[in-house]
Amino acid sequence: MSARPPAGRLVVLLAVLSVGLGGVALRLVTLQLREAPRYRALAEEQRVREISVVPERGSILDRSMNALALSLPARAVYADPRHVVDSDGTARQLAPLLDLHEPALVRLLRSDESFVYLARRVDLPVAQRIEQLDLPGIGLLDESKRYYPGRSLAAQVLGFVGVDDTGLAGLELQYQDLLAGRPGSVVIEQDPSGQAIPQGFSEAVESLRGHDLVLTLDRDLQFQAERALQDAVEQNGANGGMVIVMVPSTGEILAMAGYPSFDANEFSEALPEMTRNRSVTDAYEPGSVNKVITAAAALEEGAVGLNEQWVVPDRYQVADKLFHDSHRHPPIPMTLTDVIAQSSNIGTIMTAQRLGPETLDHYLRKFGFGHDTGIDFPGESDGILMSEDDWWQTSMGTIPIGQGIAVTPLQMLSVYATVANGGVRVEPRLVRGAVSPSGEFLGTQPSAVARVISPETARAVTGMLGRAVEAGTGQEAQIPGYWVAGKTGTARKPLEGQLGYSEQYVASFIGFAPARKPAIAVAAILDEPDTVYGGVAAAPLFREVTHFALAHLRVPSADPPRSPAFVVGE
Amino acid sequence: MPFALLSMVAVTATVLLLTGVQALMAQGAFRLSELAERAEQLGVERDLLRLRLARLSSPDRVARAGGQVGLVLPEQVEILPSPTHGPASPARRPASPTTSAASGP
Repeated sequence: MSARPPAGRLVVLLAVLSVGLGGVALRLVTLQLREAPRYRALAEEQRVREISVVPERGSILDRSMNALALSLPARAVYADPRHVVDSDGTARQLAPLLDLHEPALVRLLRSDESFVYLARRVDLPVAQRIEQLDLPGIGLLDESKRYYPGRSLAAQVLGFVGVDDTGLAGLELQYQDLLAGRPGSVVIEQDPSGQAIPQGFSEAVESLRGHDLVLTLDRDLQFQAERALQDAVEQNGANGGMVIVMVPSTGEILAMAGYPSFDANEFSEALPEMTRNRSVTDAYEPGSVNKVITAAAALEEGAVGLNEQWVVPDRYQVADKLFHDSHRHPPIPMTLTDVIAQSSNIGTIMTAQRLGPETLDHYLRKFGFGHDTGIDFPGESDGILMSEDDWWQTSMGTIPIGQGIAVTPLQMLSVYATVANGGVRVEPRLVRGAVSPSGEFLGTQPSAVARVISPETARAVTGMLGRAVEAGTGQEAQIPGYWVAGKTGTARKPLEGQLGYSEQYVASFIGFAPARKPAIAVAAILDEPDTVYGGVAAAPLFREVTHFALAHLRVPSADPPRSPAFVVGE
Repeated sequence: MPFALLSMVAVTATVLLLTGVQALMAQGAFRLSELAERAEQLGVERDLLRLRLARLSSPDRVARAGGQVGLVLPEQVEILPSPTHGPASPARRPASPTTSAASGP
């Protein structure tokens, strides 16, 4: 009889195998269908990385497209202390490359954090050398670094950016959105060592470079203005100073210098007052340079005739205050031209009396005082001009001669630029336009204009200012071969935190040239010079900057016209 | 028998072809990666040259370099318009006997 296979055991075996295989099949179905998305996500999380692409920040260029600020790719060096094998050895290798102290690096590498920055904005050649060291626990991140090749050149105008490439001051702040660009991203598959898998998934969203900003500044003129200003501050023992060069017909600022200044590449080491663009942010009592408004208003309103003479004493009572001229003199007949040329306080006050406070206030505001200039610069001061209703009884003695009000140097220069431009005020501007990432130049809108005084009044005031330079207090501003018009200012500084004035002065000279057809208007201001007077301290600075500018701009020489006879003292 | 042989040859050839194509693709991807790296490196060099150019042309550096070789800015400069291109200039005393930077007849 033949043995039959044990059917029962086979069935059991079949059942066991079926259950086992069924379990495997069930697990497969579970993994592939129900849990597949979760595992796919886990796998992608391990392999797929999204890397943010830092956009290149737009450059800042001068009017001739010379780079004043530009950004280059850089790297941030970081450490994951948990994966640093030899903190002493790593620090020893990194310290000279990063220019850091070894002990400080060791402390960072031994910290309890999982991520610490060792250095930010490291130049690429240095970053590449660090990468080649292949140090465990040390990594690099993409970022950008801002460079200012001119160092302190126009630093107060340009401003600076923070460690994350965001504008913090100046034009870098004002035009942050235009300069910043738009970040992009790259999604790639990486192997465990961080290398991109060549045939792996890859998707990129391109970053958009920021616009380049084209300024009205002339780099060479800016440099010369800064150098002349520094020399003048040192020679006159001043605390500091400002120089502004503007084109009266367009409002374009060709140079805007302040001293002391700072290296924009090392802004964190500068004192806050050095980083301010004081030409725009700081207001001061202008003194005698303000007399031009009183004179222009008087002529425009017909309150004083151009050739009218009247007797001017050396002192004059306004309310309870006695005002006096800078020098003693007997009562003498003066025209308005003589008053301006000799910078007579009393002559100016008497002129203002004929105008009245309401009209004077009207012209002060018409010339731009009490509100911003429209230059679009962060922190611009409006100056201080009280409402005429709040004027003191003595205000008609102080305000006409530039005390009791406060203006920025740019506001004051704008007054003279208005006279130079035939009585039409043009809003000052620092930006000519922008260059888009595609290379298209986008010009700014022309500056707003407003007529302040008639062309005839402007010509008459120009003659007065020309006389001031030819034979008055501004003789140090004369430039051979050019007819220069301008006014000196020697203004006492108010005491800080209390009423009254100190024994310190702000010396200024503001003018334009060639006076017949002005190419430029220039303001030169020195803070607390030992030499005190505008005609002594500031006028030579004005002369040096203006002379260079006229030559640089190839402005032809022109003889001054025959001037009226000088009355005082003859 | 011939059919089996033909099938083996066809399968083998197909496998070799696919493998070859994959290898070429992988090679191309690596080459692309190398070129991208090279392009990035060239971009870095270009940016560094831009910065170098900006620093070299900085007026501060130029003035220092000029000063080191004895160059100075002229003290007096006068721009005279050319009679052929502008209004005639009246005869005048020169600003100084030392310097006249303009060109002209």
